[in-house]
Amino acid sequence: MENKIRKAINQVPVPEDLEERIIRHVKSTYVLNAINEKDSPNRIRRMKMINRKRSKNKKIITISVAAACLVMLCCTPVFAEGIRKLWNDIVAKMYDADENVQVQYENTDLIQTFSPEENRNENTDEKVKAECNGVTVTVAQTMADDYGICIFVNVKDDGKEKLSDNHLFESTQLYVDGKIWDGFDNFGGGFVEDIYAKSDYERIYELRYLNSEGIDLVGKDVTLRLSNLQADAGKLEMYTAVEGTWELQWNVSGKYVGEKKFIDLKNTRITDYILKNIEITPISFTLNYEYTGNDPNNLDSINVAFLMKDGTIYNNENAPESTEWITGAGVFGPDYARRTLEKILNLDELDAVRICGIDFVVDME
Amino acid sequence: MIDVLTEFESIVKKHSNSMYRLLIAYCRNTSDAEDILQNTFLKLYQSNKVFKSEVHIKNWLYMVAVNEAKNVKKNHWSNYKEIPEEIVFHTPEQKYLYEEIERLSDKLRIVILLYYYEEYSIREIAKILQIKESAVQTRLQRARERLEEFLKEEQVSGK
Repeated sequence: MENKIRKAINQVPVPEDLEERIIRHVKSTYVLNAINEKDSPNRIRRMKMINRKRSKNKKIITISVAAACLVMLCCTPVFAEGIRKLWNDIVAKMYDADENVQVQYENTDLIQTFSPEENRNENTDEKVKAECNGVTVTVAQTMADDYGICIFVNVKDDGKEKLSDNHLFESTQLYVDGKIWDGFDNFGGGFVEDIYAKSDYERIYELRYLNSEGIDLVGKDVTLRLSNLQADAGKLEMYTAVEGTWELQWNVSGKYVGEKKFIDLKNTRITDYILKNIEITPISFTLNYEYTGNDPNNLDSINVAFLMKDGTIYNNENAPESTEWITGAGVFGPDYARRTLEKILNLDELDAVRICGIDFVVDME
Repeated sequence: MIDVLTEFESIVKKHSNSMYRLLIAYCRNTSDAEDILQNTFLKLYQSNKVFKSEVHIKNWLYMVAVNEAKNVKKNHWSNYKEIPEEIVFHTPEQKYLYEEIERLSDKLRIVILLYYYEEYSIREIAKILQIKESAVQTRLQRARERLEEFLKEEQVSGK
């Protein structure tokens, strides 16, 4: 199919003088702006330069950070023990949850961790580890708020199937109290990036479920059923690499109960939307508005960015390239849009929210 | 100066046609596509960025062009279809496929174009669009399902 698509797009006619027009445009702008030597095409000369210095510096920084981490790990076991709910190492890396963040949200029930090796399930129906055809799946950690749950499972193969970001479970179903819950919008996830890997045969698999109907999960038994580990043979031709079903069960012990940020958006009108307010937790935001147009799909053009006190800007997927981080999966409807975040947002450091270029400052409490 | 311009021109020659076609398919509007292309190359010319390789330049160009295109599409006034020149397809199937790609939502269309037309990897697309790789995978799967359904339908109906 890929060749067909390429062939079809290649039929689009290109104006004969396109290149000439582009070059003329650039040259004329160059002249009009009277770009002096300071802004000169010296920059272009650097295009093909390999930035060895930068890469060398990067290596030095990496080694220094690694050394510092080693020293910290060797010297501070007491501190690590002291964290009531210890984060999974890889999840902490994925979500930039350093020790400060972990401590900050320590008593908010944001996360739930699991220790399957300690026989913690002897007196319960919980089953946080499942094995089938050489693949062992273990619940590593969850994060939940009122609006969704992110589940991270550790997947370990016995050495036959190397796991990569091209692997996906064919089906990932979440049951609440034994019933499949339609109110959850599943946003897949997967092994995704190499940061998820412990080794060639062991990776963290990420699953996100948005709770669009607002069910309270706390105290409920949930079952995660994963089926058939598939791999991509190229061009998304998926085949089943390991056949099987892995069923994991546990009781949800909590969800985020810490402070949320509410910002009044003062009925500001942006195109067809009258913005009401935005509610922000460390792992999601909900933008409430009134839609006055005819095409709710246009909601995607609403761009939300978080401005931190140190000047960092966290942005969503319509972000310009200068910003640092993007938000993940989301849902939207006629009166709200909700997205999960891909980084733990430090609410104490949040200064303002920028929506379609307009800044709304967090109210001082 | 001449060398610099020569190098710039060679970059324009190398990438402009395929970028233009991709932008036409994404924006469905020739004047927007050309404006975006001109702005993108102007940004390259004025850029302070240090590029590591040809691939790096290409990836950067696509990232800027896609961001420019997203910004243009945010403007409701530009959301109209205008392709004055007739596209001559070799087969009816090519035409149907092109039209079906046009019918995809913006998010699915750009992913399909980058993946199948530019043959970028999932990881590269994630970097260009600044979204997660899982989001690219999901969108590709959805888009593929729609196109495959369409192709099957076409086969069944004998078009």
